[in-house]
Amino acid sequence: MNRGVVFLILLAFLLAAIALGLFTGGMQLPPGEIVDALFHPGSDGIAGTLVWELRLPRIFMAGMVGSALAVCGVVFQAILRNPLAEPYTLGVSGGGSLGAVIAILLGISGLPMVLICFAGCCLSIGVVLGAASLKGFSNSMLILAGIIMSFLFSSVVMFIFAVASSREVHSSILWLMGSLSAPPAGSVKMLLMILPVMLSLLFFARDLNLLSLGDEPSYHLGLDAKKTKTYLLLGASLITGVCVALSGIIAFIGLVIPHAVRSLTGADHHSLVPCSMLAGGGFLILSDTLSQVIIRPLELPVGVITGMVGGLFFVIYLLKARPAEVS
Amino acid sequence: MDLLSVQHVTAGYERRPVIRDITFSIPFRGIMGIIGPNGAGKTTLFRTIGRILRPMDGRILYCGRDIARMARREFARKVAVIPQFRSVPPPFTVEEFVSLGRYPHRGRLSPFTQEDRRIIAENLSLLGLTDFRDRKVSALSGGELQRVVLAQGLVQKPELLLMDEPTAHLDITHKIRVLDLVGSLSEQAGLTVLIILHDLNLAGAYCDRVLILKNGEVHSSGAPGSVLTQGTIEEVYHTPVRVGKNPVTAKPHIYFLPQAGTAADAAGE
Repeated sequence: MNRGVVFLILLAFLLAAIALGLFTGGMQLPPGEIVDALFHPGSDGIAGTLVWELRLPRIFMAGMVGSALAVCGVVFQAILRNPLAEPYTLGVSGGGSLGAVIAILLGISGLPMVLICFAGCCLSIGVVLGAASLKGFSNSMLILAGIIMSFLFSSVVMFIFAVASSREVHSSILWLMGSLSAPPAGSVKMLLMILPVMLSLLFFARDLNLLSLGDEPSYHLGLDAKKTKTYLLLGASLITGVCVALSGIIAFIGLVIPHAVRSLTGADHHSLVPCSMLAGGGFLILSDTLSQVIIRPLELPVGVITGMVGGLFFVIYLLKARPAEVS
Repeated sequence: MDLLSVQHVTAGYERRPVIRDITFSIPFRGIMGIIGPNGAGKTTLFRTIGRILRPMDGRILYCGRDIARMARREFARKVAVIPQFRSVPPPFTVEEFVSLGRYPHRGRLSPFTQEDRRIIAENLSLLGLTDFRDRKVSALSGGELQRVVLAQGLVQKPELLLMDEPTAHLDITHKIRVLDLVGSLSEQAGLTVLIILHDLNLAGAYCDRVLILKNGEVHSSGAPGSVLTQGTIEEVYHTPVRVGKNPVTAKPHIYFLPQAGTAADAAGE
């Protein structure tokens, strides 16, 4: 399919998801009131508060986290040259969950919890990238170090579960499933801080194309693979870390969206990177809206929805794809 | 001055040298073949010249400049490397994949120019890939993929083309086609080629100069007629042969002598 068309379709998808998220949710209001509130920011009333303080920040957050996870998935799949790579492959999620569980255990919530969780992410990023740098950032070393760190962290989390009270375990598990329901104050600011890093990835399409050939072929085409890989891995890991710290471990987006978009655009990162951002953002906004209405008035963790929809999609995609396209 | 001059280069892996004190030079134009038994260090030498490995000792000069001091992109504008391609590439289309060869000539953000497009189209048609250009490289046969990889190297517009066993998995048709093409590029476009070949007869037929490696050292080098002799080949490969001439091209041709029931072999020693 023509790339421009794909881009426009995905842009329309994102805008549609935003509109849907704005007009539906846990609480139902007449569309007229929502439109009215939208054009009169700062006005009093339920609709104004709902639109400006709940729905719009939440849509912004879902859109940012979704597109961040999707584009990081693209980066990790290109660099690690592995179709199973995703933003959590390097163990970022393991460090993040340990941080979050410790915070829950200590009764810390809100922004301090986010920071502890982010510290956990940074710890695992540091260990994995540090270990891999000793071996010249070889892909197998990166993947192995990531898996080992994930196991290590999840063992510690299991240990904490074994000794913690059931209430703490329950809220930890809810967190681990990924949720956008109660973003702490400052979330929007944190996301705005990673926005430049995310947008900078748009300028690395050429490097990602070369890296996806492998380290040596990219050297031969003039790329300083080690330097570029270091920047991209660090950038993508930090973006993922912020997402994990703010919204927990939202499953499958970083794995499925890149594959889905690649089947439309092909392997060229000039279109794959921006299109994945649009698709990931739209998909998470849509999933988050679903999670609010599906068992109203209760809310599902959005990770449950992305996991189910993503898993289902992946099965269909794998069955339909010709062997050569899977890699 | 030579195009490339390898001076006393020692290189290898994890401090263990595979090639030792290698010295030779590649003049402008022509095809130079590297031959030698398995484990002689051909690919190690190739990877050192291609800047994947750093020499432990000695240096390599490109037009008089140490290649270790050249920027990677500048080097990639002058030297194209076609390694033995093993891994399956991502699902680029043929045209996209070949276009990657223009990256060394374009800044990160500058789009392809008319000239880039012309060079890409030219090389696609040169390698008979024009009809394939929208196919996915991940779905090509070995012979097709080899041509695509070669096209990517050629759109780099290199002065020196390094090829490691480009004909290894090709049938005889494609072998000859690829080498004929390389030969005509070297003759008409002034491309200099350094090529690793296992097939001694192909080396004899296509190379202007042959370098024989044995146990990580240069055993001998020179024109095929003077290097591909019975004495040299038997000494390097420990395999009995006879050397004749191709009746058409008068290039050296090596005949192998199967061991089963060869009394004549003993007589020839």
